[in-house]
Amino acid sequence: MKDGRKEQTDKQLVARVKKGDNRAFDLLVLKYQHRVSAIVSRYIKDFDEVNDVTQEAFLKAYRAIGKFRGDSQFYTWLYRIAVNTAKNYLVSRSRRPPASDVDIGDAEYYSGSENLKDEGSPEQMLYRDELQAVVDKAIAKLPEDLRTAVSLREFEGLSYDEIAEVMECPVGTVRSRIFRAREAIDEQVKNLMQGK
Amino acid sequence: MGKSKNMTRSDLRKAEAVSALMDGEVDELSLHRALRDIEEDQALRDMWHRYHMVSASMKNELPERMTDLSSRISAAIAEEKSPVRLVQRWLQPVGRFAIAASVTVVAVFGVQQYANQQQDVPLASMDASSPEAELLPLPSMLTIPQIPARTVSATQGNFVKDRPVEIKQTITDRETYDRVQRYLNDMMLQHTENAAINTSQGMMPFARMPNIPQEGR
Repeated sequence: MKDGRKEQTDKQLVARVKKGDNRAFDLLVLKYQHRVSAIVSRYIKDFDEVNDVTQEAFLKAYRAIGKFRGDSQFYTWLYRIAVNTAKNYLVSRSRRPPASDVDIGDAEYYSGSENLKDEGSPEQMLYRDELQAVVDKAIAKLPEDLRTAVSLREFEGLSYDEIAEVMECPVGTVRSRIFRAREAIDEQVKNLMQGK
Repeated sequence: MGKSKNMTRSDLRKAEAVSALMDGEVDELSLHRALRDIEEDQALRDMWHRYHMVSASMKNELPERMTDLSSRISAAIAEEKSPVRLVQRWLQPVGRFAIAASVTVVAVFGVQQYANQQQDVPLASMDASSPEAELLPLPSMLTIPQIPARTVSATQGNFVKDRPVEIKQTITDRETYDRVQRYLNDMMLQHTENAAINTSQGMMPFARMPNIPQEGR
C-alpha cells in the first residue's frame, strides 16, 4: 500500500475545508508548501516570485476546493493548479513558459534552480542540503527498531498494520516507534532552524 | 530523544496523535481532536510542519531554499470569505430576489383571482335592486328596461374584455326602444357639444356622429 493512508488524511482535511474549517487548509499548506514551491521553481527562477506564485496557487486551490470531487489525489490536483499558476504568471510577465511540462513524478525529485542565489530573509531561510544532512545524520543515530519502523513508513509507504506484520509487533508499538523516531529527528531539525 | 522525556503524558499523547494523523492512521474522532489540539497549541502546529518537511527531505522532494509561507497564506485566506460564506453571500441576493418575486406573484395572482371572482358574477342575474346595478344611474324617465351593468376599472377591463357581456333581457316594446334611443342620442349630442367647446378639436366631434338623426330620429 503506497501512501494510501496519507491520501485518507488529505481527504479528511479537504472534507473539513469544504465545511468551512480553515484550520484543515492550514495543515494542507504546511504539508505541501515546500513541494509546491519546488514545482513552481521549475518554471520561475526568482525566489521571491516563487513564493508569490506558490501563495497564489494555494489561494486558487482554496477558492476552488469546493469543486474538488476527490477523483484524483489532492496533491495531484494541487500540482496542476501550481503548474497552471506558474505558467499564467510567466505569460502575464510576457515570459515564455517551458516548452515541456514537468512530470509530476520528476517534479518531486527536482533539484531546484542553480539561479537561486539571491538572498532573502536569512532568519526564515532553510536550505535543503543542510536539512538533508541533519536528517540523514539523525536517522543514522536512531536505534534499529525505530529506524526500521520509520523507514518502512517513509520510504516504503507501508501502513501501521503492514509494519506491525513485518516487525512482528503490535500496531500500537509501531505507532509509538514511528513517533519516537520522528521526535528524535525533529529535535535535530529544530536545533538547525534555531541556529544552534 | 531527550525532548520526549520533558513532555507530559498529555503532550506525548497529542504529539503521537499528530504523528499518526500525518500517516493517515486516525479515525474521524481522533482527527477532530488532533485538529483542535493543533489549533490550540502552536508547538503542535510547528511540529506538523517540521514532520512533513523531514518526510519530504527523506524523499528528496524539497526545493533548494525554503521559507514558511503558511502565515502569509493564512492571512490572505482570512481576507477572503470561506467557500461556505461565498455560497451564502451568493445566495443572499438570490434569496432576497426570490422573496420579492414571490410577493409579486402573490400580488398578481391575488388581483387576478379577485378580478375573476367579480367577473364570475352572472350579469343576467343582477336586477335593479342589486348594489352593483344601483351604481349605474339610469335616466329618471326610464323605468324599463333595466339593463344590468356594473362599473369596471381600466385594470379590470384587461381581464373582462375577452368575455362578451350577455344581456339576456331584450327589449321588445317599440315605444320603449325609441325612448331609450332618444335618450342616448341626447346624451351623445350633449357630450359632443361639450367636447367641441372644451377641446381644441373644434367641430371634429360632430363629424363622428353622422348616423344620429337616422337612428334616433
